[in-house]
Amino acid sequence: MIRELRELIASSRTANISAPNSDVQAEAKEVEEEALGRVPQLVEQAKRGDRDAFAELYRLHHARIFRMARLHLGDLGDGAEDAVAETFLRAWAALPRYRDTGAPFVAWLFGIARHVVLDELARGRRAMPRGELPERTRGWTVDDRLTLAQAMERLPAEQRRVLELKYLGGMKNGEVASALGKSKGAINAMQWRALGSLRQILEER
Amino acid sequence: MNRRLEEDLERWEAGFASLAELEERHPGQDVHDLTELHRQLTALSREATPDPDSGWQRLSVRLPEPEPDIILVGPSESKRRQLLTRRRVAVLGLAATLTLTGGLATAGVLPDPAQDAVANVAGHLGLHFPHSADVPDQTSHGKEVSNVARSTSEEGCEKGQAISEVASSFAQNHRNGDPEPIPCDKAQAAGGHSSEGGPGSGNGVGQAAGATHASDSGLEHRGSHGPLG
Repeated sequence: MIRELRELIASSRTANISAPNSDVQAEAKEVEEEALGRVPQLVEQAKRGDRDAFAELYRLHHARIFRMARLHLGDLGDGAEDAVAETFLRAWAALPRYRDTGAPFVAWLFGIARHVVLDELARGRRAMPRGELPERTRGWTVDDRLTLAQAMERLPAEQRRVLELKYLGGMKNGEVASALGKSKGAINAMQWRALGSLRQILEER
Repeated sequence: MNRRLEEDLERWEAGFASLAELEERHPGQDVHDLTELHRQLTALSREATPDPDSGWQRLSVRLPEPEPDIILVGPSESKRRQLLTRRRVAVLGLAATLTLTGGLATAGVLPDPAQDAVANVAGHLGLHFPHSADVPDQTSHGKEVSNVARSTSEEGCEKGQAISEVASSFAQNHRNGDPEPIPCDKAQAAGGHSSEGGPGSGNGVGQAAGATHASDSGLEHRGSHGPLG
């Protein structure tokens, strides 16, 4: 598995990697940002028991929470989907106590999702990486994700949170900074330090 | 990883620098591996996920109805407790202030505007506190007595009587019943007989009057002190 990851990284050495921002991505981001702009209002409505507002919050954040759960729990059965459902059930119960501190709502959801994932892991519901690797395909396999999740667990908590919020939560560095109470510059630096540490952990395995 | 590399990686991520530029500026660093890991993690965040609507269909039937006592529109429980504590302290403070003010108002020692204000408010509540006009000015009263003592042309008993009258006028205002006998009148009467009769003539009236006076004084003296005298 690690060998596969290394190979993947090595194979891309020769590729001409351009900066990740493109017009299409920027457009998609714009649409997403517009939808996310409604989140504070939806949260207030959901706090008063508005189920439609909560349904909208679910739709807006489902993918991020799902990816986080899938990274840790794998694709077996309905593990990730169940974890998403449990996360939103707990969020619904805890919403009356939610306070808007200026941090993105998704950061609060991620806090709940992490507890759900840890509970699931404690119950032994994690899918273990298989001994034999399937044929390499583009993108992440189950084993890739689980290996990455295990490596991320070895990072200092703050670095792990930065990577989770940025790459799984889809947050910008400024939003991550707001969620963690740090400056954007500190998050920028922490992101690359975390990636450096993660690369080292993956190589050691 | 040094600070310059972190900054250049930020520039690369923002699209302001190429990978070749970074590798040239930071030879020997794992720039390529870092950017590749970043790229893969970014791809991870764009992976397809299941349709959220089907998940919501399953979840919505499991969502409990919001309980009215749990859905708090106002402040949180801890904030409510804080507010309650603050209110208790405020009520206790107000009670203490009212008690103290009431005591001072009863004694009539508050400044005139405060005294009047308290008397007015208390009057609405059915309580009686004196207004500033009802409370005599004790400092000017002492000055008045002192002035009389210094300026009066009277001598002897008359002077004492004059001072006494002024001094006790404050109490007289509050005293009920008959006014006390004026000692100088008695002494004058007695002295008049005595002087008329002469010290040695002694018709007994002067002595009797003197004895009466002395006796009165003695009674007064004893009476004023009561059992302790």
